[in-house]
Amino acid sequence: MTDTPEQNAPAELVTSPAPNPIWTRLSVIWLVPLLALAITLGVAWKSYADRGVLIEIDFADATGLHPGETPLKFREVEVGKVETVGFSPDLKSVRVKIRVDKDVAHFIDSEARFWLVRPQVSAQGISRLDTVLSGTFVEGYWDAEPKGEAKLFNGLDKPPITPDPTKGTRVELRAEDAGGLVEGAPVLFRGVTVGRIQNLRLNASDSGVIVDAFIDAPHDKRLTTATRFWDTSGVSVSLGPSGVSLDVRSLASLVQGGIEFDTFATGGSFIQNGFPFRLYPTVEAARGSIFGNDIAEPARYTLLFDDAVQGIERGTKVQFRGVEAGEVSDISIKVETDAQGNRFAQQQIVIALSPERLGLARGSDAQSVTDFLEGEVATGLRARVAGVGILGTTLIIELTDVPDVPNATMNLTNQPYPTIPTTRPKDNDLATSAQGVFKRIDALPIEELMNSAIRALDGVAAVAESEETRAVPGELAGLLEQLRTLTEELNKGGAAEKTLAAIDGVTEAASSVLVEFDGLNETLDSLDKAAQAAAEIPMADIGAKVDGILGDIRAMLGSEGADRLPKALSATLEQSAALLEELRAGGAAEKLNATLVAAQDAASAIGDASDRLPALTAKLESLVTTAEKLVASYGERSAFNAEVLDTMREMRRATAAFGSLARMIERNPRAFILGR
Amino acid sequence: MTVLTARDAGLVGCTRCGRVWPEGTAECGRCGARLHPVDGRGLQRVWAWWLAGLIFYIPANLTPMLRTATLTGHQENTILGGVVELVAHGSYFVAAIVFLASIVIPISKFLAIAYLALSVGNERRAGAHPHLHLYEVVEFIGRWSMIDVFVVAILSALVQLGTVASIHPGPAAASFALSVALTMLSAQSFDPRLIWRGPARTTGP
Amino acid sequence: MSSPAPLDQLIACPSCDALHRSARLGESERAACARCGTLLITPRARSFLHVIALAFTAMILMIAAIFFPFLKISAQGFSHASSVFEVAMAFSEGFLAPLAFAVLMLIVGLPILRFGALIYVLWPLANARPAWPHAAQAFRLAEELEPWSMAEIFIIGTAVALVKIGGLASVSLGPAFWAFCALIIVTALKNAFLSQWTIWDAIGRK
Repeated sequence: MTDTPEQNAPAELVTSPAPNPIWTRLSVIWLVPLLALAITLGVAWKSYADRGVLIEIDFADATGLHPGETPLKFREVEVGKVETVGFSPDLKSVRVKIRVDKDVAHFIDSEARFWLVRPQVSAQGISRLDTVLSGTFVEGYWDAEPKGEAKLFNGLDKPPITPDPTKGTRVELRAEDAGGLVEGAPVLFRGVTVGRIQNLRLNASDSGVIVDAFIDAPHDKRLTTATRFWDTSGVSVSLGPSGVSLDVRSLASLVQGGIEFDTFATGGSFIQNGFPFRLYPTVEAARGSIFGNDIAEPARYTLLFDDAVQGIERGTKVQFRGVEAGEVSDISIKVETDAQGNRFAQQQIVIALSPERLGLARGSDAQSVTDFLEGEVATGLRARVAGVGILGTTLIIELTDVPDVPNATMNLTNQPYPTIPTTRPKDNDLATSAQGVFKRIDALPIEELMNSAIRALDGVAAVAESEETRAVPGELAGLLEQLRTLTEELNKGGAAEKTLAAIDGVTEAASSVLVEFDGLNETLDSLDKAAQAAAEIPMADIGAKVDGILGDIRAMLGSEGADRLPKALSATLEQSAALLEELRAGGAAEKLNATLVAAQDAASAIGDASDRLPALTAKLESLVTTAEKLVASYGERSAFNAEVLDTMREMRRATAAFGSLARMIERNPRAFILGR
Repeated sequence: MTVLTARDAGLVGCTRCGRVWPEGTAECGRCGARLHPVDGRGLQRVWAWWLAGLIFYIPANLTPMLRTATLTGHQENTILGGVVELVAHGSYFVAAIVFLASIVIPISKFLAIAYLALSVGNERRAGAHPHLHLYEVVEFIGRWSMIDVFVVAILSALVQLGTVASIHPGPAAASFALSVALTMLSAQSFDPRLIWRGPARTTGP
Repeated sequence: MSSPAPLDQLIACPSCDALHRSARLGESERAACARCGTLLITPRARSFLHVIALAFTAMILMIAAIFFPFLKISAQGFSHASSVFEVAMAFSEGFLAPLAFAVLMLIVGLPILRFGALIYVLWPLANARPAWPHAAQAFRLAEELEPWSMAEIFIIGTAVALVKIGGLASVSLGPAFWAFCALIIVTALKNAFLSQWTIWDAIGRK
């Protein structure tokens, strides 16, 4: 062993073959796995980056939603998929996480809406049955302008009626009750469906209902502030001057309800989404509402009537020169003290007038209306009660020119509203005619006639009895004898009594007829006078006068309207019966029930009215019969007779028809609605 | 020509790596595989696996392989039934493949293995090549019978379209897979060296 | 009778048990059994490195195949997508459940195991180092599992299934499908580059 001289001698280097640089050692083959790795990672990264955005939607339940399968569709194109289905923190709804494709995700803003598409069966029809096979899916709607980020949405349970709010306008309709309205019912314009109603709900104070109506473009351009909406569901039955009318828009609206709108007045301005409208129950109400869309406050005036006017109530229409211009808004009593210190009461009626309807510019204020009315009053405009309708039983307040009125002016200082001078109520036409008839009778110079007749007869008798007459040859005597015989016959025949009796009968009948009409004391007085004066009647003159009477009566009967009235009524009734029979067979039971109730009301109104009719027609008939007898008592053969008789017969036919109608209605008001 | 076999030389060759070891060595020193002498004891394993495979092949054909649920109703198909349906539908190519992979190949495998196992007793030194080829074919092709199992799996996984169409695997899938696996094992247990010589001479030098 | 040569210089044909003398071969030579013609030593066309690289590639592709979408069927608005995992899980109902596991193993598990084993065995050998412990077992495992890794059969099965339903619905192939196809090619290449004898030899040389 030798000692290794380590301490001082340098050590040996440790040699080993130098490794080649790494890049020469690595073979090209390593590219292969590297390539594979790169591709794999690249694909993985791309699919991760393309993954899309996660949004959350809360639904009531998750029926039909399968994670990983259920798609989210937009315009029927799949743009996402449901990833997970979980719960909201309060467990009240199901929170569905959906991954949306990136290219559409940024359009989803806070205004986007989502809903589930499932098979739907409803009154509007059956839809989306294809989802039974393909499965429920989530559909969404959003527009191309993102407004605000949102990641959590509330999902709707069924598709909104108007998925695309840009293509139309939404308005709010307010009504007292929902009537026949059903969610999804159509909105019609001239019979064409232009929209749908949705979201039927009670208003905040539970005093009415509010429903949203969505009107599609371009029909939403027709909506102005002057547009009126009314409920066309069901059937409306109405009785008016032209007869009973039945209005059914379409069978669809019968079943599912519907709303129609139209613009009756010009000058409305365009509306925005959410504009509120009032929903009228019928088209007449919509048309008739004067004030519904007025801009300005109606002008109000006071009317003071000395006599109590029965039948005026709030809402009674006010007509200006025949055009509906306002309504009565208040009725009260005003106690006045007159010059002698006596207290008397006046009926105080406040009317509200629409300036537009008076012919003034839209938006005119009360002062301009007052100025206008002052000018009218100066030329004879007065306010009075009038009756319109068949029997003159519907009351209105009329502002019209009245002939022969004393001068009057409006009292502008009256509180609370200026007054318009009033005048006596107008009488009914029928009454006027009848009154006119008897006025003429009254105006007959019967007394003079009778006096001269008596004188003539006296003269004849004196002539016949005088000495000179004896000296006249026998033919003259014979002539005088004839005259005398004639007079005796007449006296014997009791013509005068008959006439008196006839006129008494006429008086009775006429008085009972005319007791219907207002203010006919004068007429009855005239009748009395006529009856008294009919004690001695010179026939020929009376005949001439009666001609005149007949002319009047004929004019009254011959007017077109009266002739056609019963015919029109029965024809309409037949039509209605047939239609209703159809409806009943068609089974629109629910609506018909409501309709029936309405019709029943109408029928009882008819019944009420017709209660009077039989009595009326009976009286008319007896009047006619009596008049006939009167005429017949004057002999058979005269032309006067024949004419009178013809006229009388016409009158009787008319009243008979009227009577049969009244009897039928009275017998069974339901029958004419339901069919026999 | 006569060659010297390891057995004749009193050695045992490793079937895995080819290294030779002295007779009686249990394990190959290089690759750790068990060293089997070339005798017929291994045949028992072959028969055992073969029988098991055959037993499982019967329900594989009798029970349905695929359950199809469409709008019109349910349908169950066995392997043969499926082939018939495919032919009826006109997809002859697919029908041929399924028929081949699920019926022809397994049955021929059974037959081939049985034949090989039976014929191994005779000493065929000269004309053994066909047998070897047969063996190689059997061993190669055996695993391809699994195609049908995979087809069923893919169809069941893919065709899940709700009520319109959905496919589910039937019990035949499991037993067919088992049958294929067992025949594979059977073929693997077969020592091809047995083709070249008869059963071990229990006596002799 | 004593062996004619040292044992480690002998090769016994696994097919017919014939004894041969082993020899080092040139680059493009191969050795076959004298009697039955079975290839005993295949040419070492590429180095271990290639095999390793391909094994890595195969592993990456396999993992991609598992996680990417595999197939998607769509018919008349319905669609359903499936991954390889879901394909295996198609058997998961009822008593077929073990089959699901087995299928998963056959398609995915065993191939990955094989790749891993190969890499484990060949890595040190490629660097001309001695093999890692249990390399022999690992390689044996890889070899034994070879007939059981059925990735290529799976793809052919997929093709058959696609043909079967291609007429009824449209099927779109996802990235996993292509990864699988690439995997099969890579595996075939790998097997071609693999020379068992050489590896055993290398393992054995310590």
